[in-house]
Amino acid sequence: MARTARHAAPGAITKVASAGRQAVPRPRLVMAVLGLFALVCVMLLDGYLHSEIGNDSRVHESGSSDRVPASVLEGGPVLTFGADGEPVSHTLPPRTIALTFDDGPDPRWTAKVLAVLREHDVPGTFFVVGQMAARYPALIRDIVDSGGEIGVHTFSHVDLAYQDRARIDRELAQTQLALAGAAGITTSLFRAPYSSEPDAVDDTMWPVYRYLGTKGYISAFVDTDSEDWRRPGVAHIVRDATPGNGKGASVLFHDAGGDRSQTVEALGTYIDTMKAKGYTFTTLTASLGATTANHRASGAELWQGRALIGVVALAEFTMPVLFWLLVVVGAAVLARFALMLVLARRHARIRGRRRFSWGPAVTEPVSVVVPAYNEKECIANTVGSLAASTHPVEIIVVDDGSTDGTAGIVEAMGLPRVRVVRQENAGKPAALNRGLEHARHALVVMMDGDTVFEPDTVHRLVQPFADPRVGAVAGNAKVGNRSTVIGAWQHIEYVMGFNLDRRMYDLLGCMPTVPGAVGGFRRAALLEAGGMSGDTLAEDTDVTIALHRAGWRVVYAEQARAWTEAPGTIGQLWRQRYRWSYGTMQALWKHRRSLVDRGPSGRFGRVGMPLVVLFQIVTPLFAPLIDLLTVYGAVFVDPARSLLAWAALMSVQVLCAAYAFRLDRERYRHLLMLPLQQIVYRQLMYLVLIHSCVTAMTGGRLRWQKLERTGEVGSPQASAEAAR
Amino acid sequence: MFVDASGRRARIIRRAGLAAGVACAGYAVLLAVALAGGTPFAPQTLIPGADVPGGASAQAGAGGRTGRAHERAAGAPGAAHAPAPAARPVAAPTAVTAAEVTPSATKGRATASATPAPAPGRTGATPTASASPRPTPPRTPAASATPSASVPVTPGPDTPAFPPGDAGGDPVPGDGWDD
Repeated sequence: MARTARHAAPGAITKVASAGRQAVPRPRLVMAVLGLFALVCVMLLDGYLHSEIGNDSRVHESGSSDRVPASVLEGGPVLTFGADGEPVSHTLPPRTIALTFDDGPDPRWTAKVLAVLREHDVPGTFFVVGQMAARYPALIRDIVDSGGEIGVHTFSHVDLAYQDRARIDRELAQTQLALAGAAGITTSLFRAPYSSEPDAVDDTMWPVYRYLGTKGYISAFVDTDSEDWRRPGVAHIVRDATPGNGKGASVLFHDAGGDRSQTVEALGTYIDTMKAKGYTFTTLTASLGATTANHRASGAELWQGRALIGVVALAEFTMPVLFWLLVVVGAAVLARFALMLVLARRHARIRGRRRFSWGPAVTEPVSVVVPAYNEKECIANTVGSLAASTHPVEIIVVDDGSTDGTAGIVEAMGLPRVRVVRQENAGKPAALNRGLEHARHALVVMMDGDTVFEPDTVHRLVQPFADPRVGAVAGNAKVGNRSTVIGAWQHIEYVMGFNLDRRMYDLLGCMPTVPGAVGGFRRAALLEAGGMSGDTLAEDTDVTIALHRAGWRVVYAEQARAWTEAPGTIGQLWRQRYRWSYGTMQALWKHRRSLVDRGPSGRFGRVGMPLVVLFQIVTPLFAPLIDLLTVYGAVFVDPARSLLAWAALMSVQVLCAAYAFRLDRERYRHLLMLPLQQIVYRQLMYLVLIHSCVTAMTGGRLRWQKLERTGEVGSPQASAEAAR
Repeated sequence: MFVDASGRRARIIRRAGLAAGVACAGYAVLLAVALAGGTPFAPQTLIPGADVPGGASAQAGAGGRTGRAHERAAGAPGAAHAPAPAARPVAAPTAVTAAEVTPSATKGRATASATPAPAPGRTGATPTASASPRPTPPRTPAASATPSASVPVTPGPDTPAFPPGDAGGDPVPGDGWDD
């Protein structure tokens, strides 16, 4: 397996990394779009059901009622229309009560109300809101089973005075559909939200009632209003609900829309009181001599109703799950920021103290290994910078079968402390191993062929080795080409994401990666860990974890600066990050055994690895959720609050970034890019992560190219080995 | 690491992905079907009036769509979605006979005891459990003089079209009629 990473033949999933292009294959894209679409549908439906979308919460004030027939205003609580369109009012017979409950069904109260009704052996008439009926179909069934009558109270509890016919039709139709799906019934009963006694019908509502009449609805009003929603106390409720003079009455209660405990409490008392006065209780239409307003639903309506209940059930299940995921991820992100700030500060204070030192100064010579493949543009600078090092170094350039004369360039420089080792192209890990073999000193610094050191980099990098427990040291890699937008983004990321992180990980003792661009190692420790392995695409992460497991300390030397050239285009960036995230997952998986190991290996496995997995894989993986819910909230629910929440998260980031910049003494100017980075760069990163996760799951092979140059080669010998 | 040369894992994942994709598309389709459906019209429920003994509602109880012709003649056009033929109750305010007191609504209704009936919507004819209800008819004509005037008088309904015996419960004249 050692060489397949570099020379893998195209496998089953060839589209994964095509030559130099962004690798996003079609079937996966379609699937992702479909999944996203379904998710958006779920979110929109949920918003619709919770009156977040398309809501109209206006309530009209009662106006004049000149055009409302007196018979209606002075009539009974039930309104029907004759064939000729003339209104007919109905009154309940004396000593008859129709208990009506509005706004339900509600999981908290409806069952209790039904229990009271059952206990007292009386039926109720429930005017249900379509949204609630769709969300709690079982309660509708309970009501129907208990002998209760059901009426429509619109779908989203809107004031119909403000709605046009299309909206009214929709409110009615969808409520009937919800009832059909929930309990197989439809109903002819209706009560408008915000209605009350018949004499409260005004000129704006009268046409609505006429319209409802043409649709066949029996409109119900109220004789006595218990005003239970005000929660005035049981005694008041009972008193307000009692009709005078032994008249029959349609009485208003609520079984939803707030704390209805008083309603439940008062109900039993009320029923007993009225029964003692000789009242009987019926459903509304029964009191008028009809059988029932509930009718059996059948055919298309029944099945569409069931479909509605089904899609609603899924949405109602999914959204809380998403919400809790968001909460968990949000908490993790915030915790990470807090931890980072606290620990980075501590790191800076401890290491910044004048009296701090690792031990006696390290002055022994150091071997610097520079693996190079087709680096003719940069190698001269690289080697030149090393040659100017203040620390005694031996520089070993390992030419990994370059075809552009990289080795020749180095040799032509003729520097005294530089040696060139040539080999056939075998990949970076192999090149590093070769360099290790040739290294004469006990301390080794490994870097990339395009990295430039400062004169004191090596010196600062190796000082921590004065502490015998230290096995590896991570330097401070900086982005050199930061004048472009992409460069600036990566610069921010390097300063904040990598280096602030490294301070935190240093103190926690679980640094996952010593950067390949600037890292110092004890040669013995490296060899003991098996050298650099080609098992993964991220050999730097791999070997760092191996060192942790062997018990070595890995620290961060923030003063040891190295300048790298970051990818300049999105495509190159994508490939680099793809390789990094895929390689990190490979490395973590390779060392999964450390979870159950003893000793230092176990410590890393149980402390370090979970932290790394949580912060570098899980939270970035769920970052899209934050974006999605922010967009949903901003567009549909409450733009101000959603954007405020997002801005709050952003300001936490800015704070961290500013602190990171301060610690590194970087110019704050680049922070201006941060907001834009959060909108574009972050998305890019989690797309890369998702992509590499999918690749890891499907087990595809990758053909990797270097950043700017093509890495197509192989000598016949290497290809033959790869073909094995 | 992770590379699966046989491609088996890839096939499994691909199939799972396909299934998930189909499920997502199916959900969207189902959602469209559900939201597009439904009718704003209500089923027909007849409310008996003074002149029409509970018989009308007996038919109403059966779903409202199978009402007898002459009952429906007055108020209901042939369409099932006729406006609630509550016109009936006020059609002929005069004939308040004891027979009218027998609302078919009481049919099958246990007069005193509560026998929770199965969902009324399903059987139509099974009314909700309640104590003996007092039918409203006699009061309606008095209260709604205006509407009654404009309602076409139904010839038939004076005489109960449905045998009063239909009413399962006994008509209970009494204090309900006193005032």
